[in-house]
Amino acid sequence: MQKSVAILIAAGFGLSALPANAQAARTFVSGVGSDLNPCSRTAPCSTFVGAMSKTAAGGEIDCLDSGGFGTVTIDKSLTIDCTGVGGSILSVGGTTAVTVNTGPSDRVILRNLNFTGAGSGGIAIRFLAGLHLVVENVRIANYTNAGIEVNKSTSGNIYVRDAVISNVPTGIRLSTTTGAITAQIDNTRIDNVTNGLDVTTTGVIASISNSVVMAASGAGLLTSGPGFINASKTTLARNGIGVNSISFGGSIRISSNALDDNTTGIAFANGGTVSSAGNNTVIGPIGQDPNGGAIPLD
Amino acid sequence: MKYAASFGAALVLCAVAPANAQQVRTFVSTVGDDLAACSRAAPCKTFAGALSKTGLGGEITCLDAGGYGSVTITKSITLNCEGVAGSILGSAGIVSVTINAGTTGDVALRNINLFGNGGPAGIRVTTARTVTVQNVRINDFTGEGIHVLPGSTSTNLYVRDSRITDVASGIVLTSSGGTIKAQIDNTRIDGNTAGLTIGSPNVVASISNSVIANSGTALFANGAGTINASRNTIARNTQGARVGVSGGAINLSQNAFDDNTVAISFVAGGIVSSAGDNGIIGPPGQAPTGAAISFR
Repeated sequence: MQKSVAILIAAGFGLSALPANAQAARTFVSGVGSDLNPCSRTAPCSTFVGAMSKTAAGGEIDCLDSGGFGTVTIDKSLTIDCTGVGGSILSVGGTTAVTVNTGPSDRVILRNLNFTGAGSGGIAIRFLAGLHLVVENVRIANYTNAGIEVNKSTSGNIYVRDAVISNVPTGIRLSTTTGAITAQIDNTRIDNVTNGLDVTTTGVIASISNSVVMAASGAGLLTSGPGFINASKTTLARNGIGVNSISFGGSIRISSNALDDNTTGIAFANGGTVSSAGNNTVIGPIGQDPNGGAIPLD
Repeated sequence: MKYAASFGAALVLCAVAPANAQQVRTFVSTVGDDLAACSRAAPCKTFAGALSKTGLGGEITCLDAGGYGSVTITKSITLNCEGVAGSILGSAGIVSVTINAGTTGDVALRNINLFGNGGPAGIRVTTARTVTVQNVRINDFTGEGIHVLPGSTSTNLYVRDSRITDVASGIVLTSSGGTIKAQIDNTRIDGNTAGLTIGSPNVVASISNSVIANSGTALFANGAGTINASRNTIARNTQGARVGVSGGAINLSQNAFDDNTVAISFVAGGIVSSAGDNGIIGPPGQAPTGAAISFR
């Protein structure tokens, strides 16, 4: 009895001590998992970090149940998908919840996740390096720096859809030192921020559509650097400034938006421009009339 | 026997957690116990039971489908039943969620069903800095689905992806001094006596991409505040948009008014403004007299 138990225990240890390169295309995390496990469906891991090392590049980590799965720096193509449960990451004390720092042709997908900063976390998602980041169906709240920050030195794309970002200083901040960043933000809600969407450098073109930015004490949409924001079918409501273009060479293009009761609807300075298709409704103080070339309607 | 006694003593010690032992994230389960630590492995049973063991600004996560009880929220917190059919079953005389979170309180309710069962109100907010109601379904209350009535506190309400049905008034916003700013987005309010009602000055509410249908008065400025409505479907109500007091205002753009008994009405001193791009099917009622909404 004792001998067979010992053999079983030894076998168990043998199983969990995987060779370093034994990775699966799909791994699992669970609130009652263990990072000593192989991260399989029946033996899930307990953190994203623990599962990532056992997930093959281009693979997927799925969440089996609701709970928190820890901060992670992603260094390869990877999908994290908590569809069907309340998968979440708590990051406090100025830390970043998910850092995406991958190779220049890698793609990362973050889907169905809740990010909680609990009032002291720094940034929920930071995109430092990689080709493509997709952020889908996430909720971000209560961070002290930003919800999503793109701060890259090479070209890449970010696609944010169905996100809800609340109670952070900057909802989404986009910058690059070289290369071109394109961003598409769709069906996303940003509220109770200082600035909703901020483009801080050249080389950035961001489109935002079917979204809501409200209760930004600064600006709903801001080009603080010489980049571009295209906004359509978006509600900008009760912000300090609806759209604010304050950098020479930067421009905000607006079409079919509703600017509701912003303290100032439209503002620009320092050679920044705002261009309009002439079809945005403005309730409340308009501010300045768009000074860029009119966007044509056909 | 000896082991059982000490084990029992250990159990007692475990159950009496120190009053300040709080976690940022706690868990509730229908097979949990409010004497437990509210951890993943030892979840609590009710929102009220987990609340005191959840740190300020933290989150209560629901582990399985079921009811977690009415609750009075007195601090910043998130209740999130994502992934399961988490619910609060009400009863007569009991408000399902009361929010009295103080002037810096930020409260979020996500993915929860509030089934009133004849209770007076789904969510009642008396003080909070921000209240987020996301993917919440509220039905069968005798009073309001969501009622925000701060005194002198200013409150931001954000309702999205939600549904309010079979209540007397879907959303009611009434301040007695503080400012209420509300955004209602992608929400359906139907089968009620009133849809969105503002009851005082110092209220600015925007509603977009939503549906108010089969109700009495869909958009009701019954106070000297403002409702901004854009890209909504206002259908088959007794009144589509109505300003009931002098000084109240409703601004309309890109809405579809479908077959309301009367689309637009206002009393003397009430203002309805239009961007000129609302489609009206059925009796239009009074023509907007406010200054046309500007385009830029």
